[in-house]
Amino acid sequence: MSVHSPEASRRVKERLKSRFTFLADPEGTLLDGLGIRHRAGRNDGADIAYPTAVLVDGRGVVRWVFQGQTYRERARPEDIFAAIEALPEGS
Amino acid sequence: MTWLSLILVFGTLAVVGVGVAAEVPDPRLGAGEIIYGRVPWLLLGVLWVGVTLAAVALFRGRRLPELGVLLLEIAPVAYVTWYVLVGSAVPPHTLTVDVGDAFPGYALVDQDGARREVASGERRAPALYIFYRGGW
Repeated sequence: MSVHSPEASRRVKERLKSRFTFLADPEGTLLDGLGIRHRAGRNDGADIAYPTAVLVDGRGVVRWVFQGQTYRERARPEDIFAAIEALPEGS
Repeated sequence: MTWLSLILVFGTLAVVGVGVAAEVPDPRLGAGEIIYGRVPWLLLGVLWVGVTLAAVALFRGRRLPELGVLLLEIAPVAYVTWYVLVGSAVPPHTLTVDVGDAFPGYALVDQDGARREVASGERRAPALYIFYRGGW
């Protein structure tokens, strides 16, 4: 999920050979839904997301969140996998 | 001692710099040190030991080369220290959903322009949403 255009995201997806879906949210509508819009946070003055990760189960319920306190931080893969393992059975 | 100082400071900066540029996912060498470490104390410690050695060498020798080395090292080390402690902090903010809440619905497009729409509370495959912070 990023504020970049679908075209820019497609180029990155191809470069990384990623199997993830890259959702484009140039208007930041979902950022507002979560309260994570960093206004004028990008070097060029555009809005951008605060570093955030959210794990959602099969019923659409939030099961785990990560919020970086600095824009250097990302969720650690081991924390993400642990959260996935902890999802309730059948969700 | 001056050479050791130079190796510690610029060797460390070079290793981490190359690691970040090459996206090396090793927490000790590259992007991981900068990305995952809330405060990379090991990195800061090595850098400031290097600067301290340069200061000791200047105190002992009091010669122009030692002064030059200290001045050369202090600027990048001070910048890195400021960056990881202060410069990269995001403003305080509050995530408006918590564990147990419904994830908001959305109607967006993916990298191929295909519409992806999910209503809040609608059943779907479990999903991890990573909100990318940066430019690509």
